[in-house]
Amino acid sequence: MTDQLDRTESAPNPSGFGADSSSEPSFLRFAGRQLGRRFGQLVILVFSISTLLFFLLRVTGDPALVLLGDLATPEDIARTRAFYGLDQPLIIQYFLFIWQALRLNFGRSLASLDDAMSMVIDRVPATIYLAVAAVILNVVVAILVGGWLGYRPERPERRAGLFAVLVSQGVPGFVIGLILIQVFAVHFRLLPSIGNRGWTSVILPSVTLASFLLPRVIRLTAANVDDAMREDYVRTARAAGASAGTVLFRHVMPNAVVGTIALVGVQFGFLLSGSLITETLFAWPGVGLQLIEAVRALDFPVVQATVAVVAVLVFAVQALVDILIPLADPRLRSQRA
Amino acid sequence: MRRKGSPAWLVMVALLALVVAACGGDDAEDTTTTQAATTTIADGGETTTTTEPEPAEEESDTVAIGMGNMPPSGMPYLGAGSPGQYVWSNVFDALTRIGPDGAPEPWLAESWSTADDNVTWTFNLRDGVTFSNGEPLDAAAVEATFGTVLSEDGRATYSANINNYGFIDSVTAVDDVTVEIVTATPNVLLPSAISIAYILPPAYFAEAGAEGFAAAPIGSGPYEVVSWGGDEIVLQARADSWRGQPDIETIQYLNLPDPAARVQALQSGQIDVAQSPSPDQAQSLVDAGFEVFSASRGQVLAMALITVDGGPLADVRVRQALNYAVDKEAIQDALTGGFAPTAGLYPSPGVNGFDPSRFVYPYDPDMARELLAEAGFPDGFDIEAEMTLGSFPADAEIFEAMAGYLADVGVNVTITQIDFAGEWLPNFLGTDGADWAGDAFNYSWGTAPLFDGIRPFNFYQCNWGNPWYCDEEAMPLIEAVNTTFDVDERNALLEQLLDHTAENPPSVMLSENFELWAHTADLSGFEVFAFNKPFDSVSSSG
Repeated sequence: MTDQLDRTESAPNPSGFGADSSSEPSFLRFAGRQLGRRFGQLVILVFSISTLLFFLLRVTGDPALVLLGDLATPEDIARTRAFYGLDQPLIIQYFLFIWQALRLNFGRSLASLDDAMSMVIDRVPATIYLAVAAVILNVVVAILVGGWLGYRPERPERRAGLFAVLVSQGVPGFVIGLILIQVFAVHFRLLPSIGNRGWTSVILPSVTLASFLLPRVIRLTAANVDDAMREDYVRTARAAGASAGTVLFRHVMPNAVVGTIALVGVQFGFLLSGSLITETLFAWPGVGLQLIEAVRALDFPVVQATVAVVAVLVFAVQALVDILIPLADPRLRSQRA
Repeated sequence: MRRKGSPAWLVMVALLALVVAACGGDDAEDTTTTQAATTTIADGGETTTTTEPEPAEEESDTVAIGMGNMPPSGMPYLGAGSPGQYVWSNVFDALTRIGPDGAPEPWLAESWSTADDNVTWTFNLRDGVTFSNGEPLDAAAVEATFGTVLSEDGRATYSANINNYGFIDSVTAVDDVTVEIVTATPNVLLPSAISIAYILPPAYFAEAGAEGFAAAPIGSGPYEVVSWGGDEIVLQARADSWRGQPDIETIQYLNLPDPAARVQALQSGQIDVAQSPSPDQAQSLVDAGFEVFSASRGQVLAMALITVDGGPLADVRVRQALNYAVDKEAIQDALTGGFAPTAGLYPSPGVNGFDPSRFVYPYDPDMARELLAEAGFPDGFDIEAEMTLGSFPADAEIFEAMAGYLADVGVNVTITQIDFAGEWLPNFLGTDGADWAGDAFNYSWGTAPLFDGIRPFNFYQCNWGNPWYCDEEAMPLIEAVNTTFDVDERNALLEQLLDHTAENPPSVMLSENFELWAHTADLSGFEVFAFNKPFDSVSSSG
């Protein structure tokens, strides 16, 4: 019956960090090394993605033609290409791009002529706001629902619950978003469904975005709770007469939650990809909405700047999780003691 | 060993801190909030306080419009068509405006005339027009605007707009209200072409620069810009506009790219007007008490037939047969929900040269087979069509249906989907030697932004840079329409050309391109022509 629990995604095993974290200075050393390694990865990642994207985007079309439309004369095309530096050989354009990008200059938007990087930076707070709201929802709901489901997974109502969670994993996020809008904005007129105008605006989009990841996180949490329930220390605690609440919240959850948070952290990039759909659906003024529009308009500089910024965001969150997970793992602290 | 307060919560605290930081960044957004806390009585008689989205301020003098995409910039030369014009036409004015019948009408210029050399034009400006910052809109402002955008830099930066009237050589202020425009070559369409050349306030533009101007544009229209962003544009009515004071006090354009979400925003009262609902959505909105109107986009969906390489399509009887073979009315009814204004008729309503009585090929498959047999293809033939799909409402379905009808008379069309930017445009323009690989491609009979029936003939002709269709007989007529400066005489020639084209179809004409707009029933007076969406005529009874 427990095959509905998700044991395959038990995320990175935090106990692997144990040896390095047995004392504070070595923990800091460990954190520093982790950060350093991550930063190296980030540089390589951003460089490779930018390079790949540079050439891929130029295969998709000549922005000069898109800007000019069907009236373009050869003179217009030449003039526009020269204006945007598109008349240089591709390899020269590439080295110019890298040189500028190193100084965080991604050029000007082809559509609006605004500075591409500032356009993206302006929208980062809205995206982080939405993503963090979704992360919190994920963690809180996963702990509550996953804890309940995993505590006694053999009971019929929990088996039904697990089955429902498994099924909901197959429902696309945008469908959930459209249903939420229909119910809460159109039918009951309770919540706004467009833009970011006050705290109520974040409710529907964050629930939608959370739904991209939630079923997986619930299943992982339930599996972790179920596993922890079989541990010796839980059996001992129960034998010693600890109440169900004490067992669950003092002994089981702290172990299970680490995996939950690790999964959410590792999947943060996936969550951001969900924000492309969510931000479009809810007209949320974030990076995802802008990226969709930039791709549609072949606005290369904005696409490049967005990808670089998103890579840094994902890196930052993963680095944070890398550092916080050993801190949060009770097994590591018991070794320390 | 465990202490109370597991550090697992540290993670949560860190995340919460991020939320707070992120929220802090949105303070500016919050000031524009339009929600009001209202008390409603729930079904059970229980009183609950909810935060309800409000479509507009209490007196409903704000109209919120859900846009499918937003203007690229507040600088009205960064683009030429929709969606820019939908907003710009409320803020700015040009010397002329394209009227409901497609002909240019006096706007900032009260009248104009052409000298005998056909390249010198004199425009007489309306007196006493001011920009919303108080600057006078005089001949000097016109000269300064054209000077800026027609400079070498301006031509590169604003090419999408400028290339419609790039043939202008010089613009000179003769006196306060008289402007002389000299063109490099005679071009009878100058008054139409400059309908998208909005006049800018010279002192403010010099001070703000192009970038500053884009962020806070100032024009002479009935609305002034309160805020201009990629997600929201807010306009406020001016009391002292030469166009009169509009009834709607505030217009809010909101970026709502998802069509379903846009319709839901209208249904939930968060917006008052929704751009481009699909025909299905429009029908359900009508059923729910909303109003829907259809705006022609001056464009007819068509499959262009490549004839310069010979083959069956070079035979006019074959091209006529293909037009007889397709049931355009059925396609229109089935795929456009009956909202498309016309089927198979070129040019579109609202375009100079439109004539509802012009010949449209009726659905007559027997006639099609007869003509094919006469041309020597009784068993039909196979052709390949390169098409971009998704740029026109239901275009994939319409072309699919067309292929079905053509297969009925033995002409098998294989549709290859190509990319617009990477393939279609280079093939069309012949950039760097690119060319069509098949026998046909999708090319609408589009007239924007001139809204004159002649525009497609710039391309459907022997002298086009990368010609695919060449009708030697039509060439003198095209030339005559382009060089006749007497308006009536020119219109008669245009009619002759269009009649000739109906008999010698260069393409398979299909369905009218239209855009639907849905709005709440309390709004009325929408004027829809060319690319204008002026809101000075709209009023609210709510």
